[in-house]
Amino acid sequence: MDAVKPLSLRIAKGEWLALVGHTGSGKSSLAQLMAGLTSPTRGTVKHFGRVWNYPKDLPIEVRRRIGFLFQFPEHQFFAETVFDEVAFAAKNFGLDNVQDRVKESLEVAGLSFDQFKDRSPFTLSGGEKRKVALASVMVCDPEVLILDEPSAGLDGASKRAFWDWLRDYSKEERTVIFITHSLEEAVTAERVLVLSNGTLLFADSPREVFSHVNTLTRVGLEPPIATEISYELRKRASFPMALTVEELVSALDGDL
Amino acid sequence: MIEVQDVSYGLEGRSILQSVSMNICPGQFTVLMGGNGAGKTTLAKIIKGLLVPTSGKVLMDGTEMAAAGRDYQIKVGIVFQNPENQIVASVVEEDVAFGPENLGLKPNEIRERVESSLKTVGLWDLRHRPVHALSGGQKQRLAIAGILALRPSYILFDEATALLDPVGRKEVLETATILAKSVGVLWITHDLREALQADMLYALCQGRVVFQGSVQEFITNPEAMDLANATIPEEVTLAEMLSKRGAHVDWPLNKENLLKAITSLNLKTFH
Repeated sequence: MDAVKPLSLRIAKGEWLALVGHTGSGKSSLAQLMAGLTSPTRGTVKHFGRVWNYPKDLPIEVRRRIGFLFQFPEHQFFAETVFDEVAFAAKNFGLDNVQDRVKESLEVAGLSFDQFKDRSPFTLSGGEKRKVALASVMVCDPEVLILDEPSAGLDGASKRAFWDWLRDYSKEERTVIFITHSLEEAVTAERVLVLSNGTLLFADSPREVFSHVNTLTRVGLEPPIATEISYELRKRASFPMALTVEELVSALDGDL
Repeated sequence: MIEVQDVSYGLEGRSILQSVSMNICPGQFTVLMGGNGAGKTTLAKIIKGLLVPTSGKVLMDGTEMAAAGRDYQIKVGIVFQNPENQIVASVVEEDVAFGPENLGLKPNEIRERVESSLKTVGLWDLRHRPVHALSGGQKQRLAIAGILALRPSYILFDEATALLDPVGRKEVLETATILAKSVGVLWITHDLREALQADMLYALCQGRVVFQGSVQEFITNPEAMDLANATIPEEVTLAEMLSKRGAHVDWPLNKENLLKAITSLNLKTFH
């Protein structure tokens, strides 16, 4: 069985891309292909303009340019302290200023350096573990950041802070690809890829993709409440498609 | 009723819970909210009897947990976040039978319990399926069936939907909602959207109860929302904006009720 069926796709430098689909749709497999962690059964994947023999002959300088956050990052913890866990990749790649890098990436992930650096990653709460895993990816400051459900398990305030940070990060010519189950999160993307049973259904702007409310619902996704409501209203009369509550309400105000 | 009375818990010199008191009533959907690291899971483990509080006590129907012993353990079930971690057998019906078999029940009784539990969670048709072929939502429902087969009076759900896609999330939340009509449900989450139907809501912050009341009171209490690291779901924002424009919005805040409120506004388009 092919987890990902034949597809062609080009992701530009600096793009902000959401990858959505139900459980088992092939999102994680596609993300791992994009990261060069697995090689395709057929076809090729080019990174930075050329085909590398992934994952065998990947030069370390290239590897460092791509950061990947796994879906269950806490499964890969091994260090005794949060500091060592986060510092590992930076040390491994021979980066300088490790202490500063660890401090900065922990703070960005929403954990206080002083409070957490000496704790064991294994005794943290579920949400705190996700934050440590995130910090351990960000510590190398990758140009391409691929995140497999980065906000799962984060509380509301942490989610908001994380997305704010990620948006700033992506402004500096970095490419961000994130997997999510939440179409509300995907609204912010420049382009949304929708996968179902390994097939790429859509690769377009959120506005275009979200107009297919029926298809999205059929493949197990849940459009934002504003989109669903505007879709229902459109059945009765001409009404603009809304992606957010603000858009929906301003359309209603124009109609009052 | 489960009564948590003045419970504190510490680990490695750090205080995780401080004088927590709460009640879980039969036939009610009780929600526990709180940010990452607030102590939600620790509290759930104490209520289940997996951890012993440093001080304070947990009572069921007036009897202390320690005194009730195994009876207490059987009466309180817990569903964890990761469905992979709570399935013991390779086939759906065998997994549900595991608990009753361990209670030493007669084969007839076991069969009856497996059937009624699987029917309740909507997995009876999949009873012969290997568990690895189930979706995330189905696995969580299987875990619930395994608990139901022990005939519990209370079920604790510890972020039971956090790793599921929207379909799985809905399946598990709907199952819990139905169960809350007969057993006491404690639903732990940081997603306020999953809390909108709560009969009672508690919020934890740094191991302390910082709010206790209805969902409506919670969402209009910015301080409590802030302490629980909660964010307002889009449904609530929309309802507030519609109310300001003169619409009456019925609870629960779902698509149907919001649409009804919108069409009650005097919109030109729909005249």
